[in-house]
Amino acid sequence: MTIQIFLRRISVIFLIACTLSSCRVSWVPEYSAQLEDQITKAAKATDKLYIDMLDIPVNSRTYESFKERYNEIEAEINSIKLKNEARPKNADFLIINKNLKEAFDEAKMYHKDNSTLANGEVKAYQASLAGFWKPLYVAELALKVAGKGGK
Amino acid sequence: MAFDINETVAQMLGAVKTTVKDNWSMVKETANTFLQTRKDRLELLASLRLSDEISQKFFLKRVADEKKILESELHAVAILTKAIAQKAANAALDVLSKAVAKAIPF
Repeated sequence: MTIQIFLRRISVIFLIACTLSSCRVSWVPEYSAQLEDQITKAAKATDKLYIDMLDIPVNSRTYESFKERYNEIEAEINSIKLKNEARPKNADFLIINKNLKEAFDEAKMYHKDNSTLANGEVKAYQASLAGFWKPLYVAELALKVAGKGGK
Repeated sequence: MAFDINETVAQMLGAVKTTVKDNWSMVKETANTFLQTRKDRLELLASLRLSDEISQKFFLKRVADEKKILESELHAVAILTKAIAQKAANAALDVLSKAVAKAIPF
């Protein structure tokens, strides 16, 4: 085999290998352990906000006394939203994020407008907001599937 | 080694089937979990309303939330199915890549 033929074959092999290795599909964003952690912590903070409210008398449950915690959770939701906006293939995530943000904003405004929350209202918000957090967490975990052996 | 397209396509199909089969239970389990937590939530909301712990207006707002939660859940399931499809497609492409590499004479 001459050197020319050898080089030509090597080039062809290299070209095919490069073409096939780049021929991968990508329909979802890449999994982020950091985002999973952030979602878990913010969901826990939301849950704890309402658990702590139930622990004190209704008249002490003022918006002012929980304002800081509402703002911290809101900032976390905004941060998660921003990170999702920066990811490719993010359409489904953005809708889940939008629904969560709107629900949290409504809960915060309700407390602010009514200055306190009744026990029933606290329990209902705790359950509903957990319902909004869960799809975001499940969706992030689902991305692990795409990464396992497939990418 | 000769490149057998029929054999390769059959192997690609096998890779897709195995990947989907191995992960399909996740879709079912996720949908069931969403369904169960919805049931628990609706039970709680109904009991809070029946015991007059929340007003009718507040109750209806939380029921409206359920529509949005369902929308989010469906998008989460869509992400899961897309992730499974992506893994299956890439497994099939790996089979093709290996078959072509084997068939190239050195």
